[in-house]
Amino acid sequence: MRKFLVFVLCFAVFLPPAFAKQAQPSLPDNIYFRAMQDEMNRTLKELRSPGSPAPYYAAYKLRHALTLSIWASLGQLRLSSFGPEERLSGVTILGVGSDKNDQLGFENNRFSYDPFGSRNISSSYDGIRRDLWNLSNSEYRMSLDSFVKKQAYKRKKELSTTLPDLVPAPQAAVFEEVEKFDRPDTAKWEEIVKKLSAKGKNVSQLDNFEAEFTDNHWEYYYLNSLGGAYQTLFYRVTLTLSARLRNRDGHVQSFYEYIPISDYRTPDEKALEEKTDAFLAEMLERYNAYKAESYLGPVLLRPHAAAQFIENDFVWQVENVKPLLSDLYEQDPYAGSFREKKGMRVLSNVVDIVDKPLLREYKGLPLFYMPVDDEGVPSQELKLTSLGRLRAFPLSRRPLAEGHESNGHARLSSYSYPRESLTNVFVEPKTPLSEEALQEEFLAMCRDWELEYCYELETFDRAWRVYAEDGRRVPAYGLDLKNISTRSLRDIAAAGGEDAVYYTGNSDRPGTVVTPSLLLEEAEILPVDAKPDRAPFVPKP
Amino acid sequence: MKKVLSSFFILAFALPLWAEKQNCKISSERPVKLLSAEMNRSFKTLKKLDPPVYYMSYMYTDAIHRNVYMQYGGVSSRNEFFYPQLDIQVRVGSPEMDNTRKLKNSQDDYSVISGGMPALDGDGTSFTRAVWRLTQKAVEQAQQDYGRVQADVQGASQRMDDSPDFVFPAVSSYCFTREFPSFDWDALEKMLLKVSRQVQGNPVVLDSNFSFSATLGHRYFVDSRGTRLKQPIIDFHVQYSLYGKTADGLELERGQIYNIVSAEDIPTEAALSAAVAESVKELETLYRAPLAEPITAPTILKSRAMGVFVHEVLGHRMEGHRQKEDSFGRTFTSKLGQQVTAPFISVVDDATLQSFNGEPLRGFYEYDDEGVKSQPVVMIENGVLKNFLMSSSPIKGFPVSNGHGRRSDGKRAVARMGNTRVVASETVSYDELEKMLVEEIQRQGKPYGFIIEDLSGGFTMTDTNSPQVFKLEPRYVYRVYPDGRKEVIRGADIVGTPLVSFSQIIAAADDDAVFNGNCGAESGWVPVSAIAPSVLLKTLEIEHTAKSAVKPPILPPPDAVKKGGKK
Repeated sequence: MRKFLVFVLCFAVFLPPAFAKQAQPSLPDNIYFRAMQDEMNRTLKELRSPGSPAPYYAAYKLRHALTLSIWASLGQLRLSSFGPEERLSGVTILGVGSDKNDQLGFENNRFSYDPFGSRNISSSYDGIRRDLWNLSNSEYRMSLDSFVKKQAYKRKKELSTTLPDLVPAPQAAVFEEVEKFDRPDTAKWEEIVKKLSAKGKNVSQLDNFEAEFTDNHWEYYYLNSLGGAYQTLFYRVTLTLSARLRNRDGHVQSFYEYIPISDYRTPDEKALEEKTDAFLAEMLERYNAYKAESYLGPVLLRPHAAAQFIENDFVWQVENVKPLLSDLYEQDPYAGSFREKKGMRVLSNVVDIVDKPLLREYKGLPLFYMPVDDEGVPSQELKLTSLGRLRAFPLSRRPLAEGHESNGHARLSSYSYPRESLTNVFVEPKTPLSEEALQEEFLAMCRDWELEYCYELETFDRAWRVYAEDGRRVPAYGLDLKNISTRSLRDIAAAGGEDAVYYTGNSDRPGTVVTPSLLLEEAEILPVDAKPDRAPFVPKP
Repeated sequence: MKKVLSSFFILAFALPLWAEKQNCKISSERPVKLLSAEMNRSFKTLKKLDPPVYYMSYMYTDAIHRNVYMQYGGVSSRNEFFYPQLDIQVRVGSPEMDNTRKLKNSQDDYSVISGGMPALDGDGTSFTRAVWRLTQKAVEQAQQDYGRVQADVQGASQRMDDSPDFVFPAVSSYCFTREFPSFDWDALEKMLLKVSRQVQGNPVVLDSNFSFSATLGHRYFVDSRGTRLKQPIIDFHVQYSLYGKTADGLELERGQIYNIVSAEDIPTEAALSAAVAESVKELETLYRAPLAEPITAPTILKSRAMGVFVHEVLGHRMEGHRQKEDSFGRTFTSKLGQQVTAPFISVVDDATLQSFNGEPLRGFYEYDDEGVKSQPVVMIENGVLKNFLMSSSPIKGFPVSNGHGRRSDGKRAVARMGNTRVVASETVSYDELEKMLVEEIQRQGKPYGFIIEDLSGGFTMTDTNSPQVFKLEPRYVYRVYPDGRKEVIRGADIVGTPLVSFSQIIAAADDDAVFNGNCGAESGWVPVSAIAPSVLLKTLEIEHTAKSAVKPPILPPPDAVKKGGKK
């Protein structure tokens, strides 16, 4: 576990009516903040096009990413970096007009709502400033273009509202001291991935077996012209096992096991070997997997599958609650489908869902810590549901109604201006069941349905038939799971007591879902209509 | 004619670096052993399939890649990694008609199955398994492509050249292991970082890039006929580019590329710094220069620019497959034995040359990407068209490869250039050539002529759907007035048609120089070189360069503003 060092908090709360004056938090003394501050000052003071509005607001975000990968296939290294791949990238936002009426929240005719971004910024003060200068210039032009088009769109649609485009919100500045990338013992991890991947040689049914160690270290630097700022670190170390299997029916499938590593300095090699052995044993079983048939009945989602379910059918549905205006479509396709469902029942009352941006780690694994959002607003923990009803949304400074207040959940990435988003989503059972009790409940439910077997999903790609009579598990393949949907959230009948952390999103906008196993009372599964792959021309060597 | 030819070859043979002597035993090389064993095992079965695999080859590349990009005293991107790779070429059907035939009624992306490979340590299980897996994929793809070819042939009009799709390359064996010189990467990075700061503070230099990129390793080739090769790869260059933009949207660029084979080829800090200073000066001159106007006028193409001119205007149209396929313009196909340029001009493509006047050539290789030994090919002898560049796809009158089948990773080889060299049998000094230019301007009564100092590149259209034209992008051009006065101009592109333009050469200088670059075509990007003297063309057409619709940044670069304070 990487250590979080000295933590400096500089809190600058103010609620100016028009944000006329910039707050000046005491920024860390590093090239990132010096370059951002200096270029931001110049941009706000001097960047203007004659006859057009000047920027009234600016925000810069830099991401310094270091990634080290070590990858082996069947006992031999496949890729080894000499050092971590390092990349400094950045995005810029400029507000044009005023907070009552600006250009954001409108999708210009580019079919994307993304700010200008730069992927490879030079790691010097001058390099960063040059890039921010370039980005600010491009962003300003685009903002002016969006501003004019947004006004025209509002006139065309006769949109008149008393709501401002942005409501005031307190700003905060939080800086944690970012520890330097702690390079793992490369030689040791090379040996480990070689050893683990070599185990695949003993499973003749596999076409390939690989182990990949990945160490991601992401530093974030954010500054806006209202005084909002942060400096944070998020890292993630994982071991991924991947198997390519041709099953007895001739279908070639790839399976993955993601193992989060909590201590990469002194890894528990025995535990990793055991997990690898268990995964390979499962692959051996999957060779004889049964093809799925049409099914209606209970489904048990193991933590990883439950996390996939919660991410797709809950998280994405409560995000982006303020739809974008656009000339391209009437309905914002990325706006969460639950945005009009506040107070309505969207979930079973067996669990509650809470977003915890201020939590740094859980069960020894780092979470995505977001003390301040990408509008500079302090982030709040959100109890999203209670008794199955939707109680809260992540909110930005873009108001949904009169009296709106941001709860610090605007997140920015290279593919989106700040929009309402979650961070660390916890599924919290009211009455968690032990593993045995959950299994018993599942089988009882299966028997009630008078089914010979029911489905258990390890992930959405790794399914098991579990026989009602004796709980025996046999693998299945070819399941079409599209009917496990937002409707299924209300069918959660029970939840386990052992939760696990799953990483979601990407380096630009990471997040986590922490959930135990979830038992769905009813779900429909259809067989996938896929043809088997042809047999190899030449037998495996 | 004989005189020209012999003097040309004497010059060529006089160059110091010819084929390297073999220094290893090919059958003892581990990748060759493993690839051969898997090739033998699978080919026995694959040749009996319906349709059969009648030829296959493996190209295994085992290299270390280092790429570092820098700007303004900082690193903007760095990757250093070891990534072995296998490309598989599978031919299904028969040499007369196989899966690689260009379809008349649909597009071909020239791709082959390619994938990352495990390292060779250990017992080789992983390596062999990966070869087997990729082979299966390659054969499946080839059979599918063959089906498409069979369907295409049913409805396609008659081909102008019905030569077979493939000729088996001669069986070769070659093994050369290179001990790579130890480069001081840290020192190189530090030097580039330092020099990269040199452009700061200049309001004209809106962007810049300094980089080095090195791929060092070996390439192994194994085919089903018995060819076994090991060749070193050294693709290392140091480069910088400076960019500017005028208020009217014209983008300006100056830069330099240094091709490196040994540590001595790396420019010194003083040399690099001087080159950058010169480029900055040129960029500033361009920034203030008047705009070019469309005109036809006498023009000198200076040696490096002439290298690019020959590459684009002639070279691509000398590539064998472009004489065969009906979809290509075949500008020179019927011109064999005819005069196509001045009688004192000969053009040869000679990939066997490692260097010219001490300068390393990027287009050097011993064996091409189809396992065929490279050889010099005289395309034009004393102004008469003699030969085409051939891969293993024969054309009428040219039944075998002459070692020009080239490709980048993941692509299928077609005929490409290596080191394209223009040799002039009658030359004058460069100063004399400039005098001749002024005389020609006066003789033609033109208001001015041009000296094209440098060309960044260009393109040529070879499809019949398009006009058979070329466009070249000069980076630095002088307008030369009848009184000999010179003036730098900006925004001039060269445009023309190959038959007319190439016949306009009226004199050549004795100042041969090298242009090193990368050439992109359907078989991917390949390193190439061109060697040429400066030449005088009776006339060349100049047109406006395309401009950006976006004006330069509103504010000057931050470092170009008077500054103070901490950094």
